[in-house]
Amino acid sequence: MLALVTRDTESWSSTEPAPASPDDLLARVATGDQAAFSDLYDALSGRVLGLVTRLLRDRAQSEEVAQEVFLEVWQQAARFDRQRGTASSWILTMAHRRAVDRVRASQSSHDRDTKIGIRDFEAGVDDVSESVEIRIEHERVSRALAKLTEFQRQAVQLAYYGGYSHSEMAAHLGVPIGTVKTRLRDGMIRLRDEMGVTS
Amino acid sequence: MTERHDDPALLTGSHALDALSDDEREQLEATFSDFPELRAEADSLRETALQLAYAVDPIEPPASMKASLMAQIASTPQAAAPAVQVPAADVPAASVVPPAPVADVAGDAGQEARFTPATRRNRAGGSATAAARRRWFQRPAAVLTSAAAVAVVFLGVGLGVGTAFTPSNQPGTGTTQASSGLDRIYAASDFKRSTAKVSGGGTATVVWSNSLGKSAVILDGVAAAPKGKTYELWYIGSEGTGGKISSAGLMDGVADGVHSAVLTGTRSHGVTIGMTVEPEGGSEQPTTTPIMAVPTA
Repeated sequence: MLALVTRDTESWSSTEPAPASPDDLLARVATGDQAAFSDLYDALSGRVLGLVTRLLRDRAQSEEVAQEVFLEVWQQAARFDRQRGTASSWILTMAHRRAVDRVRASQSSHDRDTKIGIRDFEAGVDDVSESVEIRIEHERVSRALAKLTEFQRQAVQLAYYGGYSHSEMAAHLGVPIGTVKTRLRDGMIRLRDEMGVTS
Repeated sequence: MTERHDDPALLTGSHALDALSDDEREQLEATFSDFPELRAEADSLRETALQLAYAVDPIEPPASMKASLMAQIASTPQAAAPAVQVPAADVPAASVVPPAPVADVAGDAGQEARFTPATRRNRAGGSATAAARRRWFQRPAAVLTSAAAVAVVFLGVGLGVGTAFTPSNQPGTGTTQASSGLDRIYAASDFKRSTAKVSGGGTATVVWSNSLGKSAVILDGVAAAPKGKTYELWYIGSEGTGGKISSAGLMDGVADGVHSAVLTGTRSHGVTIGMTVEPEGGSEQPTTTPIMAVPTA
């Protein structure tokens, strides 16, 4: 009994790098594998919390949301459709959506500064403390974003980092909602082509 | 009419960036099966949005978050894989059935999904255990979420080692009897701890070691139990192990300040440790709503 308990603990508190890919881990999580869940958490929890905190700012709230995301991962693992994207994408998408829901639900969302998403993103790029890997990613994204028109860039950043709905953006920017939709779509297609994303 | 903004083909960018309302998103996704190229575009833009996510600095969550999650998933049912869609033409109209109830669990991934009426009913018959469990989890979100939230704050201050918080530098720590057990837990290589608020005031810190199978509770600023009552500690088993609740001993002599007690019996993996107010002498099963619950893993 004691031996069993100890082994269980080791399987999830281990700090060794997980050898399996998030996709493989998620497939195992779908079968109820708690050790795989532990490894998947280790691989992606920093990303999830970073993204959620970017949108929500409030750390305690962000941790709450990140925890909800991973609980949802556990519950919904069997519904993940590998044909349509990667496990990382699925999980970060879930995280983004929950963060956006939270931003929109919160009282303060009405007073948000439209510039906030942009300012924050640019501040992040210059952060000296970040790892080389992250800096390279920043660099790639910044370069790709620079290829968009100013309006497209603004729309994409407000939506993704600010959590704005397109109707909110239309109101803030004083443009028709169709214009916002077009900017977001054209901007994202441009970004996709610049970054060489394949699905 | 120069803007055709009701055209779903325009919405793939908004979709990827979560700029749609729930209704708009559902409407768009409903068209995907008829327009595979639209789905392909939406998927590729979704992957592009992921690049925006990767440009954000990761933030390492506190260790308590993982501990809390591991305890949660041990008692959280998983949704089944979606049934393979049978083409409508192959199915006689009369045999079309409403979606399986599992869709309810799937639809809302919130914490409340853990304790659906069905799983409650199925658990452990109509015994006192079942009644106690019901009571226990009546307000799981309130009890467990606040526990997790407080643990986050507490652990952020300086967790990881027992040195900052050993019984010897903790003024007024419980009885010496408890301390000797506490020492062993603190000294264990796999020492862990989590802190939660106690309803009615004060905090409870649970420390444990899996290798020892032992745990202890340290109460700080918790008022004395009402006259004729006592605090009783409990092990609450995870769903996976039958959800058994067993007494982990009484905690007498609490009166503000710091008090500790090593739990009797052996802590098994993934249990939640809780405390209730019980009649003097204790009860076999909890008879009141818990005033604290700390998941351990």
